[in-house]
Amino acid sequence: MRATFRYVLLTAIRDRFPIAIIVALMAVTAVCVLIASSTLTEGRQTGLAYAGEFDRGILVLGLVTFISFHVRSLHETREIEAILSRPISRGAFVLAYYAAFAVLAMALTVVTAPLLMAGLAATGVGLAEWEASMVLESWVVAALALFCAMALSSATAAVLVGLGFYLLGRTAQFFLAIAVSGTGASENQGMAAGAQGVMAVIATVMPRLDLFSQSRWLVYGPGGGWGLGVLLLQAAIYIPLLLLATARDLQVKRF
Amino acid sequence: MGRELSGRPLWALIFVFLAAQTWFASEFRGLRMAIEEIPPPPTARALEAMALGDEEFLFRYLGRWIEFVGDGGGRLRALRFYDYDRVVNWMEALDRLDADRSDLVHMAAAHYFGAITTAVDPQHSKLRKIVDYLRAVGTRDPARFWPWLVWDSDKARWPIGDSALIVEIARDLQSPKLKDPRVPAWVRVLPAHLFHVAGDDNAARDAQAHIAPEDLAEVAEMHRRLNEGVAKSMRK
Repeated sequence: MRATFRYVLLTAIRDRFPIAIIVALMAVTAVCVLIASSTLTEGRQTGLAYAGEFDRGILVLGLVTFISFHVRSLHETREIEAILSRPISRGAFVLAYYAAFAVLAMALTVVTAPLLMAGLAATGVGLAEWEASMVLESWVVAALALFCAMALSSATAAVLVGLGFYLLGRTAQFFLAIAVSGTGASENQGMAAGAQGVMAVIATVMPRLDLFSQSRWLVYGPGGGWGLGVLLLQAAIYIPLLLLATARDLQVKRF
Repeated sequence: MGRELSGRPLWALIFVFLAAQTWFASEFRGLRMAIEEIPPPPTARALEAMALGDEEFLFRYLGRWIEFVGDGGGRLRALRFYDYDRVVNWMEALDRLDADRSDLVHMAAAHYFGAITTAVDPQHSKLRKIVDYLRAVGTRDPARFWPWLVWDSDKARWPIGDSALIVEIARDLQSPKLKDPRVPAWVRVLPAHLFHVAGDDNAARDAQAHIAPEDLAEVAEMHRRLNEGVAKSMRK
């Protein structure tokens, strides 16, 4: 398990993934400082909101892309067969892989704090809450990307499905609210009820990613109806769910 | 297929296409996208969908967009061409998005859209829309947004010059919520002056009579410090 863990970290470094993400985060912070300086008023707050969203975008896009292509290359080079030929269960293999991706995701997420502090004078409990929330979100995204990459036979498909899944996680509750309020596009009651049922199912199985990493924590500090406890609970439920699904998928696969 | 393209022919082709690209870029440099016009604002529901759960980011993004709308990279759309009803609708939508915590949009309203001159807005119809919007902001939370009521009073005096509007704003500035310690004393003294400017001397006397003695003392002290500062700078 430790060897698998080290292997993932080494391949990430070999592929220049951490350095690419750090450079992108630095570049985005610089752009946000520029945006902040060119804003009529509340430049720092505007810069922080931009940086929060862009950092999140880079981390999510980077993790989904890296994990998808990494896992696909494992299959193509048949490395996965070599790894699984060792005395390691498929569940332990998924866990070791996920642990490595989670450490990588956390390390890259932690980089954003000093950048936000240096570039946009972010401080206080709000920054800490945003940072902790971003770590949890990156862990959910890593589990999601691992599941998609293991389940799908194409890296491109895994990236697209992973990002689609992520987007749905951030919008499902909103669409459910529309369906429930009955003010959607359709006047047909049967169709409205159907849409409500479909959206209720989708919103139930999707993680509540819309609650994570609120830019307002960076701007105004903590608060706003929910905090880290809710996010921790969501991560604690959803990450094992995805890992178990990944392990199950791996178990039914023939190599 | 024939033999593989390599060596000099390959480089020659690369240079040909590079030259073509250089020509294309210089030939069409003048082509630019049209300067953006303000569209009608999205509904609250559409804004919620666009936010993807992060309303503060969307507020900052759109707030900055509204500050720079009409700036087309060296070309500017003059304020007189804007539909101020849409501008105000956007600002109201953005205020709801931020739950009235930020001054970003109010600053843009006052110092950008509110900077329209009498030369291009002789009836002050556009300026009045901004004044009305900021008055609504100021009266929602006078202790927090009193600067916009003061800004409105200034615009109502000049260039609008509407006595009735000055009186209305003076009454807004008599809100008991302005007795908040965050609000400077001179703001509570201002209505008396505004009633006087509007020609309503009875209301001015009444407002004067209701000024708290400590507010008068604070304003007198402010005057004294100001005069001292001026005298000092004159001596230098």
